[in-house]
Amino acid sequence: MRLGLPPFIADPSREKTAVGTRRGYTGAMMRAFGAGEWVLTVRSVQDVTEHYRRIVVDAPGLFDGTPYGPGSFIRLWVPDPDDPAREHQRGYTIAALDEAAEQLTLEFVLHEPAGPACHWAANVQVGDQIAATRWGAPRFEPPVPAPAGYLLVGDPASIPAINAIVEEIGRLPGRPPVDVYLEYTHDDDRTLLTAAAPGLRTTWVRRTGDPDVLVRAIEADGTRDWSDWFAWVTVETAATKAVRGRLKEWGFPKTHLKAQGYWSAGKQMGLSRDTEAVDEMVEPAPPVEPVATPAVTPAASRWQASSGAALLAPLKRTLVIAGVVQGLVSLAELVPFVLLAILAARLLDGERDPSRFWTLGLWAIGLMAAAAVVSAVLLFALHLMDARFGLALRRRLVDRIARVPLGWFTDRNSAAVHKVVYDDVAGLHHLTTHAVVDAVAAVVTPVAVLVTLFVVHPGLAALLLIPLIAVYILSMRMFNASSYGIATFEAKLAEVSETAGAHLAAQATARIYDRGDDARLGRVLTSRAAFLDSWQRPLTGLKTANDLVTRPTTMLAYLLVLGVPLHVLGWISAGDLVLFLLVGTTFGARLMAVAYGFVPIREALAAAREIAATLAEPVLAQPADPTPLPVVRERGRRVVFESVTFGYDEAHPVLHDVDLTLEPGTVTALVGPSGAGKTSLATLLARFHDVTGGRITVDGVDLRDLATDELYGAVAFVFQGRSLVRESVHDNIALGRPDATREQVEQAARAAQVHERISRLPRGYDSVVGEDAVLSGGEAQRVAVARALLADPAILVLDEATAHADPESEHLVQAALSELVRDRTVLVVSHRLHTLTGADRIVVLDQGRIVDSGRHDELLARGGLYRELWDADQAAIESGAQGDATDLAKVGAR
Amino acid sequence: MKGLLSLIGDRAAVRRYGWWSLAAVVVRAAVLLVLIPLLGNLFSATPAAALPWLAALVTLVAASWLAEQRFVAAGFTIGFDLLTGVERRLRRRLEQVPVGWFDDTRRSEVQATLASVGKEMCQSVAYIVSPAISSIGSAFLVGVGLLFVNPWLGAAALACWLVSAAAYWLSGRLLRDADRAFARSSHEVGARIVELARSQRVLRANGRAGASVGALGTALGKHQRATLRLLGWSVPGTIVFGVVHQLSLLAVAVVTVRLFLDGAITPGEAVALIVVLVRFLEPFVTLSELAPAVELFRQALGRIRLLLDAEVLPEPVASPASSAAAAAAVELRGVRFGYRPGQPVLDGVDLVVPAGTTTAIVGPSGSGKSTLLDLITRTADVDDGAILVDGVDVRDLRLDDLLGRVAMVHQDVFLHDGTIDENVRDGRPDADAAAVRAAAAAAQLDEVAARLPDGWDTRVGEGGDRLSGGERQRVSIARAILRGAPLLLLDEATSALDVRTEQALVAALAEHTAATTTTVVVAHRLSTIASADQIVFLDGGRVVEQGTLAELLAADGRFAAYWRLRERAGDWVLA
Repeated sequence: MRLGLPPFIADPSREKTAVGTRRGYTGAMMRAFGAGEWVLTVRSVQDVTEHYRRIVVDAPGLFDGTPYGPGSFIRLWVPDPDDPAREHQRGYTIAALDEAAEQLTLEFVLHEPAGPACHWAANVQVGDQIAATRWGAPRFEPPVPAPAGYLLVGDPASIPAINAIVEEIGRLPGRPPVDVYLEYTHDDDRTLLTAAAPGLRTTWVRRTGDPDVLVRAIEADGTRDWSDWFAWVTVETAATKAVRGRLKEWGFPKTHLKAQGYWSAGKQMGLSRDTEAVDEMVEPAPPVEPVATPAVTPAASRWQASSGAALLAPLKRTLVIAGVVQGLVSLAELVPFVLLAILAARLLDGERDPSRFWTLGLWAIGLMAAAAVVSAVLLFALHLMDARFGLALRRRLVDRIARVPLGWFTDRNSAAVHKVVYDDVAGLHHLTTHAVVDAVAAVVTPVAVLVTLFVVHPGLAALLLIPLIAVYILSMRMFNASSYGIATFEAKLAEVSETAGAHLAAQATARIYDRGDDARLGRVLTSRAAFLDSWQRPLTGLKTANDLVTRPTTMLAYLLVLGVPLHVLGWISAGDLVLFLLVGTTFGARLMAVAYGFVPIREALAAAREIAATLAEPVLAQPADPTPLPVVRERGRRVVFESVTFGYDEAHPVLHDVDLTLEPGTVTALVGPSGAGKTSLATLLARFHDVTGGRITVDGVDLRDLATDELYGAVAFVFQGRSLVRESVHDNIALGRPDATREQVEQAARAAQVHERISRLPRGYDSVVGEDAVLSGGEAQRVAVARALLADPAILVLDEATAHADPESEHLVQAALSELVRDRTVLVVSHRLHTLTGADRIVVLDQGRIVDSGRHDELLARGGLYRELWDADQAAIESGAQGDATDLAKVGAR
Repeated sequence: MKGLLSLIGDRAAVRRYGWWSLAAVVVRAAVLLVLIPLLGNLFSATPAAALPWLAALVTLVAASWLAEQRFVAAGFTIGFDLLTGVERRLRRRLEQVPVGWFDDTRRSEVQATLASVGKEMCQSVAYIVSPAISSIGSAFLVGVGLLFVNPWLGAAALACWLVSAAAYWLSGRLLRDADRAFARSSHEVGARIVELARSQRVLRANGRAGASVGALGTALGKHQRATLRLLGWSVPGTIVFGVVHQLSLLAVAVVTVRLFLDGAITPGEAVALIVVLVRFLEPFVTLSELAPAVELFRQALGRIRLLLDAEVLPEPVASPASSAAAAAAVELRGVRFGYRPGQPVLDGVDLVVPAGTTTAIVGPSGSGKSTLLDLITRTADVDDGAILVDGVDVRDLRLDDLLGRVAMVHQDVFLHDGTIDENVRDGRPDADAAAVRAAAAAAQLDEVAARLPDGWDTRVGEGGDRLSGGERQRVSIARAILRGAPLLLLDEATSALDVRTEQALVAALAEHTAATTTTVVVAHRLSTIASADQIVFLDGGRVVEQGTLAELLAADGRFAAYWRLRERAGDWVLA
């Protein structure tokens, strides 16, 4: 539970201090950085084990919407056991949190001799109070995209965090593996891991005091592939170091390795700076022979995250050049001011020769102009490079996702796809066009200015550093205050976007169910506005203060307050002072640019990682040497499913061992209850996914050996639902055959019974779907049939193709389909069994297995599931004619 | 600016903001101007004379801090008022605009507006408008102040101010068209990406999912050209602005040196002027750095206006008192309506649906059935005639009062990406958990929830995509049951359900709606229309026949023919 703190604020100072400053430097700095303070009241104390105590405290006012997560911690000001006038700051993980009751749970390892926090916890009474500060909230935030697995290394001190993390992982989709290695001292420590996750595997390691004991335990599992795993290491400092070192050797990149020592083993209390020193009560363990550990290197572990940098590698040279050029520009921008200062000095010296002024002035102006031109050209060139790079990258992304298994799309909504293809690439823009240039300018200019000024007048230059500290503290404050809100704000933004999208997509429904301030959209908007107000309003003060402190006139005033007396006393010459006034005023603002610049760079790198991960998504393998289909084709091709097993993830197979042959020119129907795997089986033929076992062949050729074009030339699909794209009706019909003529398109439309409807559209075949072509479900379905007719495939897959037809349409869709299925190999999925009685073969699926197959009469005669389904279908039709209980129209009419 | 002001409700805040902006600008200019006597004295024979001026400078800086702080805070208040006000008005407008106003483009524009309006509005005034006012205003006042130092210098400074402002305006102007084209092309790319994501199966099965073959690839190419064009247009702007800036500096420097050489000013004053004049035009540089933000803000305002200026369905201030009855009779009188002039969809429909009864609407596709239902909920206004609910013209009812009494199930159900539970709860947000669960159970959602990994808390995906069409319809029916409204409109509400589920749902709807519920149902399954109190046969936008099933079959007219056709369709066999 103890957290190592950044060194500069973690100093329980030894010297006696006045009560007001009894927290010394640490406290002062934290207040300066904007950490608030709360009083916690102990509500209950419970000993979980002999050495482990759970304390619940009331924390009114602490819950201000700041996002908490597993690993979030709070800093307690614990009294010094020997000197009540002093307090030590100790970080403790929040083990549990009840926002409604404003309570949180902290857990303490009790040990002897006790440090201040341990001493406090051991002697605490219900009702005791303690001060607490929150500063920053490092949390467990798994990297995006999700890692392949999680390696957690902890000990009793970090158990609250480990428990919370395991629980969090347990909630993630896809049941990722979680390997937990835990050190323990007492046997009952092993009861402390209470969280559970589906893929959890726990290894307990007895603490011996040897920092390498955990490393050996992890290595004991042999060579493993840690590719794309994420590691979280929070044990004793030396052990943390050992584990971190080894994981780094194995290739864990920074993004995938979070390691922090939670406490330090030591002998004497208080000597080490940040140490809750513990004299360990280690069970006597056999001395460990320093075995030469064989260098266990998990073979070929690779992290996609590292590929973010590789993505940007081609730009590196250009960016280095840009940086150098910008460095020169920054210097050139500075020189005119120096020249102006010289000019001023000459004026004051009584120089009267105009030609001297003109030379200096022209040089100054000329340099300024030159710097401006070069800087503009530089930016232009970088933007040009970025535009080219961005286009190429977006094309690569689109090509990649066009070949991933379709599950990639079902796992994310269109906004997520938009983010990767558009926003993330746009996110790189700042990095490639501005970041390097800004960073160089932000460093070169202030450094050059400071050097110049130090040379001219070291005393006054040194005093310039004081406002810099103010600027630094202010920007840190602002960074802290605003970073609290970013994650929440982004979540709220996504929520508004999604809600508005859903509202607009179904407006006729939404205006009934989603109206008024209290309905969904209103609530989401109000909640975001309230959050923005609470988050941003306090920031305006800080932002303005920042702006004012760094404003040139403020620096001018500061310099004059110091400079005027100095000049009056004759300690600085007029020329030198003018130089200060000309160049010493702007670099506060320049430094701010550095502080601001880091955020977009970090965002851009995250975007680069995301893009790289998408580009590395496993795709459906394209054959290097595709096998062509045999040319001969009379009445369709033969399709064979051989022992096909398939699941969207390994744990949940959808199809088991399916053997099925579609004879050329026959109609095979798939029937079965919902969730039987009908659609999955049918769409495997489209190779939206690859089978997990067995194979599918077309005329003897494995689907995976077919070129994509050949596959989609041979198979056409009519799905239920969204089938049209925002193109002209002509282009929609010709989607699979863009070279088709208008005559061919019209012919297909006629055969699909939709020509007449299209002719009535405002611009006929040129009407654009969703703009001036508004088609009903049945009409859209007939356009899809026309598309399939035009494609003229040997194999046809129909998935609930009549589901969206309205009455008149249904008749026409039926006619169109009858035309379409002629002389092809057809696989049809429908729950309208009576439409399938003529099929050459009906296959009954149940829970992913073929349970029966045959012609309609045979199946009916055999009874079983088909009979059940058929009876239900018939009952519906019968009862419809007689108007009994299935009568929707009876609603409300009793 | 005018557009911005018209969006702000709180006039007092605007006035407060105005006064503080004036104060901030004046003091900011004074800070710079006081440097002239300060430095003039400092660099004279008696430097100590500068000390009182130094005191004045410190006082003015302190005053400017105070004024700026108040100025920005006032700006934030306006910005926040703008945010909440604009959001509420946008949302309200969404409810008032006829559904037909929206096409794909407008829909995605409005979505983007709602998504982005928050932060833009909130920060715009404090971080864009205020700095702009402060920059331009203080530079102008410095120029005015210089007039008193020396008329020539002041005139030169003001001229430079004018030219810089013009250059700023011009460089923005040059970019505007290219900027608009760029925004359009990003928009198109966005829409195509969404299409790619949502129609991936269709695109892929037709070999059109890749970048070189699909509409997205084309859009990306266009986007690239728009980007380059924008880039190209930004060059002259940058150059003009840069050149003007340099020339301005040169001009005031020349005037200063000239004045010095002529002996009009002392060397100390000349140096003081150099220090001041270097700073004088700096605000314009700040402003040019703000330019992209200003342009984005301008576009955001434009998008907001798009929706706010859309024509709305007129509403009365209050509905007649009688309009809150528990039952609702519906009447159509001579209703004519068409989406396009000259193409009537409904062409004189008269129809009475007594309270507590059920009317089934039947007819071929394109006969206006769905339109008729949509007109009852006033998604658009009739061209002629009237629709009455309980004897009151729907146009005399507040939309809230009309729609508050309606539950509706559409054929294509679109859910939001929340949980099943949340989607059902939309029917009546204040319903307790038991009522939500009961409605869901009645709609047979139990077995759906049981099958899903997170049960009732399973997220349904964008638009409900993770559920099947039938499952979505069940959610939608549960929502309608929960609503418990007196008027129930069903538009092919069970078309995607299998027969067994449909039977169960129909029974559930009957059981869970009040006996006084008035129902209008569009259905094509004969099973679902047979026992309606009346069946209305619609063709070509007119009521062709009307009566009970028995009456209509006996009449052996259009409906009977349709009935036979349907029976034949029922007998259709694929192969």
